[in-house]
Amino acid sequence: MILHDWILSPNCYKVRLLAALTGQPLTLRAVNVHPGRDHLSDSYLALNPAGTLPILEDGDLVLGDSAAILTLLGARAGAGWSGQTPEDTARIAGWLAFAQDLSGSAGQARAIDMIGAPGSLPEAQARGRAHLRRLEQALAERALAGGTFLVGETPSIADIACFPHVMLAPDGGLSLAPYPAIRLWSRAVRALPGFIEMPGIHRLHELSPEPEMETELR
Amino acid sequence: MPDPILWHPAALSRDLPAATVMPTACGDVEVALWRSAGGRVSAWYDRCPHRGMRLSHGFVRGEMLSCIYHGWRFDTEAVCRKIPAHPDLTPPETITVPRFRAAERHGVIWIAPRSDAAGQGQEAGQGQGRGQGRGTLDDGDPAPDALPPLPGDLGPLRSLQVARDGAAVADALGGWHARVAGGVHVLVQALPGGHAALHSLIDPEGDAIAASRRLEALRRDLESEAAA
Repeated sequence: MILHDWILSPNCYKVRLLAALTGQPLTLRAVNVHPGRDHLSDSYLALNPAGTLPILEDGDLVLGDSAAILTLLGARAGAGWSGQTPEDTARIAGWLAFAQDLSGSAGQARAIDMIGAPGSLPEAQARGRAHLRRLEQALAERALAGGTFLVGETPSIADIACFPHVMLAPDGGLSLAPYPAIRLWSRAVRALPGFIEMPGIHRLHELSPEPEMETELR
Repeated sequence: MPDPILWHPAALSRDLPAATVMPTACGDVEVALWRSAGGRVSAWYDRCPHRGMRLSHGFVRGEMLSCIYHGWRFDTEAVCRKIPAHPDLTPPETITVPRFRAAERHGVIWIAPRSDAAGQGQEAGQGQGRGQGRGTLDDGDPAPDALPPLPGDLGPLRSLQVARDGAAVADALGGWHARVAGGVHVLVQALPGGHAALHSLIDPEGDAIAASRRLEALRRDLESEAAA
């Protein structure tokens, strides 16, 4: 599987993260998005007319949408990543749609603040705050019912779809301090075996052995 | 003698598991609230004395809090014990973080300013030397009448932030501690920037999911009153 990838894109990171957590190897092709805008070149538009990343190529199958790619990798991973019941599968579909909304709110605020994308920052932040509150409520209610993740007993593509935009919200001026349930959920996601980082989203350092550099330094 | 210290509710105990750190505030001062692996809760000024990074971005290993920036590591007394860039150095004990009092009651973490040397410079973020009283003062002992009278069997519900001034929220609810429908107790914490947190507890017979949704409605009411 080839992933056309941009290291700073939350939507690309979703795919890299799910592939890492489920042990599905990807061949990464780095695309010069900023400042090169190569994703809008003729060859990339031929592959994905939407002009977006990530793009996954798997033989004849080409997917140019992160939710579609998560759906594929989740279904191949099994073990609850795409839902164990029709009800859970439907709940997951709801969260995939919510993740797209996050992209247009918290993700938009980040794009405006970081790379000067067009749009109103205060309006994007207000939408982002409303979305973070909805996620906080859902996760708080899951916790009151004994759950850790958004759907079912185990992590699913619902968590992976929402995680990057939420974690990067501070890049767009949206603090995560008001959300205790999101904080605990983000720890649970980062504690999953095989978790990988992206710039701006770090692992739980306390889970790694303490670095001992003394001998190398001397 | 009544406790002259004003204790602020800062978080639900459940929301600060062992070996984690979170941001909160004591009045206008930003605070890093953390729990060691062994369970001890500490509240410090939220800036590393080295380069001013927020300690609430840091991480907990064992009984120490590490700054995320250069890894300066502080023990539960807020004294710097390790500077990774100088592995052979025993840091001078004058490198400290200003501390607040912290206590746990009723499943809630309460914090209060200190009056002794360990709390000096809380506003300025300049820790003074490890002074008299360090570790010996009332870290965990609020006087019984210093906290609101809460029944002993309440369980944690949720903490929500409200975009409205703490005093106005307390006014609207009829007090800094209020009972609302569904067996829910709400504790109001004033936060900087005209915000407040509602730390809520529920009695064991209560329906927690329904209560969570009523709190969402309560927040909508509090914020729309403010906008009106």
